[in-house]
Amino acid sequence: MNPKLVFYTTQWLVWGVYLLANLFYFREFYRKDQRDRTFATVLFRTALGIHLFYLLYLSFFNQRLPVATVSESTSTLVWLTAMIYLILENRLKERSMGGFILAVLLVVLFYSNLTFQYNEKISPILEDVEFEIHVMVMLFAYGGFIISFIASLMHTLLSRELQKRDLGLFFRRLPSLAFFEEINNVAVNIGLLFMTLGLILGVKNALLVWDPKRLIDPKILATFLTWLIYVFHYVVRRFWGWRGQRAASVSMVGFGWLIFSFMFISMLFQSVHRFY
Amino acid sequence: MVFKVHKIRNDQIQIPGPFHKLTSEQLAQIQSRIQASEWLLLILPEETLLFIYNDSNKLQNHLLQALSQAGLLAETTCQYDTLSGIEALQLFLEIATGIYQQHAEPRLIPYLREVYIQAGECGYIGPVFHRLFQRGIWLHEKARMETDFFRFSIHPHEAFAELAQKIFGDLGSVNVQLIDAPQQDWEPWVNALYHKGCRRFTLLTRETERTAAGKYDVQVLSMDRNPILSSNVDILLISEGASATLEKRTITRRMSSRQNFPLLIYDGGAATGSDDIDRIYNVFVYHFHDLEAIAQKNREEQRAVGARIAEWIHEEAATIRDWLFSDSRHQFAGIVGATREMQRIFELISRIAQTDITVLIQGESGTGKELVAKAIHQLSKRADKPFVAVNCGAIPENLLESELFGHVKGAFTGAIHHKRGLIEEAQEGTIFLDEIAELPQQLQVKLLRFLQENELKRVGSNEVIQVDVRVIAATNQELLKLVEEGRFRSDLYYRLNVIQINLPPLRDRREDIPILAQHFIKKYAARLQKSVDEISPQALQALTAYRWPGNVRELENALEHAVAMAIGPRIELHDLPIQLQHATADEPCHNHRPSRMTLKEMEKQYIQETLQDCGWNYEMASKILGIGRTTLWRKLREYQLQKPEKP
Repeated sequence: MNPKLVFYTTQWLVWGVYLLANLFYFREFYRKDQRDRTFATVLFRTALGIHLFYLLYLSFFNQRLPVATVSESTSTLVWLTAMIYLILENRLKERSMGGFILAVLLVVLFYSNLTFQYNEKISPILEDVEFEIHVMVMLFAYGGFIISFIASLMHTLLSRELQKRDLGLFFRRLPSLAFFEEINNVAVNIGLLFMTLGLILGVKNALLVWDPKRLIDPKILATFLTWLIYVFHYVVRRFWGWRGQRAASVSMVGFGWLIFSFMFISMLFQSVHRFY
Repeated sequence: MVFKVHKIRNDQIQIPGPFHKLTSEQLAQIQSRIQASEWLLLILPEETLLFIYNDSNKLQNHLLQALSQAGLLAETTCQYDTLSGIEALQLFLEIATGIYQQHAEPRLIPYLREVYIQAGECGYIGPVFHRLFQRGIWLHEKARMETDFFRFSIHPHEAFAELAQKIFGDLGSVNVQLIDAPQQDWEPWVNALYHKGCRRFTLLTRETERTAAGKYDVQVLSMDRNPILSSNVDILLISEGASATLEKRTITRRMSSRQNFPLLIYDGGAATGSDDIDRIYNVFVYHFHDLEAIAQKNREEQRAVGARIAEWIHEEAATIRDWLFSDSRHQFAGIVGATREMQRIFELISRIAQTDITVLIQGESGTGKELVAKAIHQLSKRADKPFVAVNCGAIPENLLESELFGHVKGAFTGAIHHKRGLIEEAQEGTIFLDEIAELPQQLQVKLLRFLQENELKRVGSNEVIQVDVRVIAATNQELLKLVEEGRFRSDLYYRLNVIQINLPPLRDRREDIPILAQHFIKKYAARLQKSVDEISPQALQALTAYRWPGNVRELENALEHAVAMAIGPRIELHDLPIQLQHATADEPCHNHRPSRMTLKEMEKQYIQETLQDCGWNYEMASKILGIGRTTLWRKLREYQLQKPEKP
């Protein structure tokens, strides 16, 4: 079978199944129906399975981890985040975030599919194992930030209803503010740890091949700013007693900046970090 | 067949109030006037409902005379409405589900249960009401698990407690302070917060002899000597008439000293004034009208959810109506039984089926332990997932571990493939572990770990596999005795024994033998393609007299034998297995009455003996005696026969 056809078919099939799972997650959120719950669970796991097949096939075809191009790395990011969420869902027995996480992942995956190019030529440097570790570590960090963003969003939605004294669906379906605060804090801590490690590995790799001056680059600076925002999150939480909505807002700003830098900085500026 | 309900407004009858239980004398007086196969009277908040089931359409129910006789009506006139058929069935199910008039009234189900048990003990209800009650409980559990109907906070204090939970999550370490005012009743507020997990309450009061809030442990302090809002307070409730004001700087001070830990305030009056206190970050202020608005909205949403449950009830009522006309009236999810003990087991199954609670079934061999396990599975939300039955005693000890938990390739000689264990095969379903007492000690440890952590390791592997399986265990031995003897681990016993179902041996429920016999005759006549459909009185007496050491399984085998042997449409005594044919001689017949008794004395003694034999089941006794239940009741009164009190 033509590999090109397999790639295109599978990636859109995966997107479609995630979309269906997302619809059932939202329906379950709205109606709290057992059948919706079952459909959502089955579809989500099916999507993860097909997605894993796609990533493995991609790895097998290219003889490297699927993290070298924007399309590959975002697709891997989606799979990793979805897996982390599934583990969280099973451990915490809390499904209210599922629809919202999947919605974000669908947007990212859509971007991944759109930017996919069959047999894309990549720099040989990207086939280096250390580079692959750098990207994988960064992807774990971004996974943590996606989850922290969703937890913050949930916190905001619930907090708004509580402040306005207009209690609706979010009040009925979501667990407590304290729950989302905890998830947000843990996700940011883990994300920050991985990002710090990823940045160190990235700088180390870059210094081997680039002049240090080339590190002053829009994309690298934007990533460093992302890191600073999450460091800020950690500091104000730890030392200034920021919690609840304030901490959630910092998380959301951090994630907003992350998406902006990920998707738009490369369009606006020339960058040495072209594979990012 | 008729099922109907008479609805009488409470202002027309003489009762102390809703949820009132009639005395057994009053019930007996109603029974004497009502010609009904089964009936049940419920006194609800606005109306009194008399549910009646008649086997025959011809029976007349003298409703007004009955109520008058019981002292509920001053005269024998009053207005009442009657619903019949599916509407009446639906009304009963609404009550048993707990959504009568679209409200979640917490007293409804406990009240219905009390009345139901009382009516059962007096013999006024039978299979129809048993079925309705059990299905109602099942629907209640379904509604509880799958909808928010019973979780809506429909009162302001409940709404406040829910708010607290949504803000703080775990309320165990949260400090609640109540600011008192004369006549303020804090009990509903404390009660609602207590049920959500709050344990630390302080009451600031100016009254010297204040007894705080009912049964709850509330620390009472003087309002003059303590601040309204100290730094450790997380939830503050200020009574409407409390002469207390709360300034913005007091709150700001508390917030900075607690690193902005949330503060929830209920201001019953105007203590928070016009300051923009609720704009302070992480401070949530609610007034009574806010809470009332929330409660009102919740009531409306509850009605919408109630409409969905009403659809389930409608479907269930239709199924029950069809069942009323079928001949499987004594069956519950495939288990046959009409005795009170079996009805209690059916009720228990209905109650626990939809949860994931571990169940331990105890009973002699052949009492139907696997049938009970299957019934639990079928009524659970796992019904469409696998049901895997394992007999722990039938698998050799050295194979049992790999059978249950699976193994990996090379784990032992002969393990040439990976193999999923039976527990994994039951993923998302139910595993039934029969003869659990036979489980070797080292496997007991492994099973305990699986029960506690929901995870297992295959033999020869270190990989931990997550599983979601409900466990039902069964044994024909006294497990507690084995625990005392050290042959069964006590921790596993207590983990398995969350819910225990004890199945009675057949000799202790002889009243079920005729219906069981009928059930098996029908089953084997169809299987053996014979037109056998009845059993002779002699053969039935032999069946009833036998001790049945092999319980229902032995009875089933005996009837299979009998159906195979029967020549005509009726099973005769000689068709039964040989040991049963002699059973009649083993048991004493009722021929030991002394001579020179009057007819009345003989009648009295015979009625008494029959009732004793039937465990005081009036329906069964009246069938055996060949008289109506009303006649039986009259005779009981005439001879002053009463059910003996349990010691």
